[in-house]
Amino acid sequence: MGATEVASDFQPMVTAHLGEAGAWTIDSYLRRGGYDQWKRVLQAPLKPEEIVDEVKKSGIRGRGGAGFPLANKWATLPPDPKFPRSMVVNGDESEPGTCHDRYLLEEDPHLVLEGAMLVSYATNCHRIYLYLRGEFGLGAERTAAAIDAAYAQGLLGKNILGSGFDLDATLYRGAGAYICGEETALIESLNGNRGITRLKPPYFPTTVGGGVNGMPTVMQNVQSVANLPFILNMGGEAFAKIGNPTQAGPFLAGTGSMIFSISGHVKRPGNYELPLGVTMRQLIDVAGGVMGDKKIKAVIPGGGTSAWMSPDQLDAKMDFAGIPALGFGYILGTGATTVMSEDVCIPHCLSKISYFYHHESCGECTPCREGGAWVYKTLRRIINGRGRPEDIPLLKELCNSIEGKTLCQFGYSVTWPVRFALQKWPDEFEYHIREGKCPAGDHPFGVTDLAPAV
Amino acid sequence: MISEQTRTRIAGARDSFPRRRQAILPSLYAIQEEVGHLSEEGVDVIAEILDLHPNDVFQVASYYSLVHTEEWGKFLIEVCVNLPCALRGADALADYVGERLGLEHGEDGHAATTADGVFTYRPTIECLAACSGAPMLQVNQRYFENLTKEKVDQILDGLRSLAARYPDRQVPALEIGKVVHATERGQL
Repeated sequence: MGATEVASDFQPMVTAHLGEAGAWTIDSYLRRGGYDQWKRVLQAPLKPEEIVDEVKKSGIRGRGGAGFPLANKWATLPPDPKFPRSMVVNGDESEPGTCHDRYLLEEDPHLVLEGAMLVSYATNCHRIYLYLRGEFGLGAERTAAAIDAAYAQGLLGKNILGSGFDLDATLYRGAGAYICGEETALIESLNGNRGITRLKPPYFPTTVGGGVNGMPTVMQNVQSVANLPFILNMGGEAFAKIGNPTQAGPFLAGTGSMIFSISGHVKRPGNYELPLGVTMRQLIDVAGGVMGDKKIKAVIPGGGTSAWMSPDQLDAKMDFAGIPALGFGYILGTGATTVMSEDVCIPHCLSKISYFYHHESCGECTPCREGGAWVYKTLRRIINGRGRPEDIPLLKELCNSIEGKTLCQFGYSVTWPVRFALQKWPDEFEYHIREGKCPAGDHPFGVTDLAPAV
Repeated sequence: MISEQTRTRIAGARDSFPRRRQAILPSLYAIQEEVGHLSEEGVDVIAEILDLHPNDVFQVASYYSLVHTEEWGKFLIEVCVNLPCALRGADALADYVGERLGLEHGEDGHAATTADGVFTYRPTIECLAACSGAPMLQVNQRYFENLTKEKVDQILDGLRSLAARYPDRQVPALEIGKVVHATERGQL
């Protein structure tokens, strides 16, 4: 199957109107059938269980990284209605390589808002928090305007459209902390504390004591909620036919589409919405192939956290079963793909990722706070030509000391790229240490100057 | 002196959340928008209105990188140099911007401000979620993507003339966005 074939038999859903002039206004959204599902749900009226049922049939899994099915998450809510529930849209996008939630929030905030409303109705929440990372200035302005417009149209507030259902939405801006994208840290941040991860249990924010203000909270990624209007429009069964609906363990491998952010050494970097289950090779083809028609050295399949793929693994399917099937450490994550051509130096690239995790560690757990710095400093020593033969075993030992010894997934994020790069490209590290210089010469990132997309 | 308007905004934030603490972060933004940075007085005012101890406010403030107690220039320029950007020449961009502004930066570059107080430059910011538009930089709350040296020149010149047009107050984000005409995006 060639690149064109992937693109022609699939119509983008959530990204269909991105880039159109004024797509972020309520007029534009209403013109293309926006809020139809919200009105139908309230006026028909649909029971919340009927929506949950459609979502269950659709098999949709969260797009934020963990890939947990939405319906299964909602099933962990306590049945007791005396605990007021909240819905949180996680817009704290900052995984290296990931850049699609920002476009959605800037270009089509009403789609995100309608999705959040539908989730709230299905799970009986009466307050939506749209948590955006602080850097998204334009996204915050447009989301705030979208909320105001929805109130003005009577789509939010008390007794919406005479249905008796109350729903409020609030924009909440973070202030520059990667870890606030992690569930428990985001909730701490929303609670007005330092945004650091907390001890589990409670494991899920949906349980009592785990969520915002201690109350059950449904948290979903921006892209996950943006799919809701489409699921209700076409029905769960039709949605489940898109992508790769084969059974993988307890869940489906990946139904629906995903926005793949492609960056690095490709001819046309960008956000491409494609059905789940396309292969990595097709994905790179869709993005125009490798810059300068070079060979590929490494590809990151799921944001900075994942282990890196080598050229022999490019036929892996991009879904929640295909990438993990490559082995421990490989995750689909956010679907962000970063391509590195044969010209790059792996230790240099790795040091960039390690610096990120060293810098963004919240400091809660010692293995990650201290270990992240050790990993970065050891790598920096190697790339600066001052590496010692014992540095490679040291890096491996550091990985063992961090992995699984922290409260959140972050510990793995620090170690996976390092651990697997040491396994796959050991000669590059050894060359650095032996020769005291970089095999890629003066341009370890494969570019000599600014290289904007044309 | 924190203005009455900002105080009202903080009180409004307090009333819009189930718990007072939740209003800390929005209040910090309100203070920074008025003063330009987080002042000691600002912390006290927030604590007073939210009925919290100043320590409660400052422990939140000190955690976040966008909350700053030192004065910054009119424009905060940040260049992302994380891996996806580095693969498209972000290190060269960071050097070029530094050179144009006459500011040096080390490997773990901290914010430095030009003598005229117009630009604060923080060159090694980590992932701003614009990976497919690399190389990129951010000015206050606006993104500029797919940069060439010519475009950087255009942006810096545009910002200098904006600084002259708004000598006493903050430059609206809308104006910053207009410094280059087409906001060229990654392909969608």
